[in-house]
Amino acid sequence: MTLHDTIQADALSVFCNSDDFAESIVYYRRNGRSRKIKAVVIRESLGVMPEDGDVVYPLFEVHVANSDTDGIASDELDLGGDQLEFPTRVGQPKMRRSILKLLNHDEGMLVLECR
Amino acid sequence: MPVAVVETIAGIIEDRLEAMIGDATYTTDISEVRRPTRFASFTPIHNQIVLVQAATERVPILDRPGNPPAIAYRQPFAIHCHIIQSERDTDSIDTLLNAFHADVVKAICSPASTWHNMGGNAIDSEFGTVNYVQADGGVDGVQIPLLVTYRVSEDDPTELRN
Repeated sequence: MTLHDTIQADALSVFCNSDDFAESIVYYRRNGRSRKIKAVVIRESLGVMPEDGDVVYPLFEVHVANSDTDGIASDELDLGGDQLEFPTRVGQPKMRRSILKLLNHDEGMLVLECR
Repeated sequence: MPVAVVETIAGIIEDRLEAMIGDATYTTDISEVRRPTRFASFTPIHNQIVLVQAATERVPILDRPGNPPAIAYRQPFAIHCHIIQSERDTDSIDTLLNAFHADVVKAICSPASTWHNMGGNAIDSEFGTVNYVQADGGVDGVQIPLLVTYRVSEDDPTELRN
């Protein structure tokens, strides 16, 4: 097994293990297709609506495996319309959030920003 | 219960924008119109309009004497038009922004002869300088300022004094 394979396998089996930090969320592609994936969701940091300053909105950092089955493949991601569905707060109803930024990525993981 | 005149005006603007949804005479296929809560919990989507109220300004030159006097205010509204264009889309972003801008102005300026008085609740309305929002926040768009001047009783902002 190469280092590349190890990184990809660890992303799924270690980091995105729902027995530890990850949770099951739904990835909706702009074209309408969807699938369940595993992700680590860092919830509710705050952004400020540009030009107005007095309206804040929640930001979410979502870590997923770079995978077209259990995560999101970096070459399939469309920052113009793809969405993730997860609870705003743990225990609250799930809602869809647009994926607006790809903060970082490598062979193993993607770090996404949702609003 | 009486409603503040400025809230009535905001509702009229919102209604004019919402009338764009599903209207094929506009180039832009509007997905939704929002007025944010303090904690804006909605997600940005393609062709979304967000109507935001900024700080009210006094316009003393348009005050009128009386007991109570009539006090004039200018209320800036910011109409945020969000575009989240697909990475696979080949249309120019400027083309989309120009169309969105034109559609919103047409919608606000309807009916053409009396749009500026907001159903009789305002003295005048005018558009400010348009700002184009860069995608550093993940959302492209255009922000259209709409300045609405209205007059109310000094002691009762729900009482129209046009």
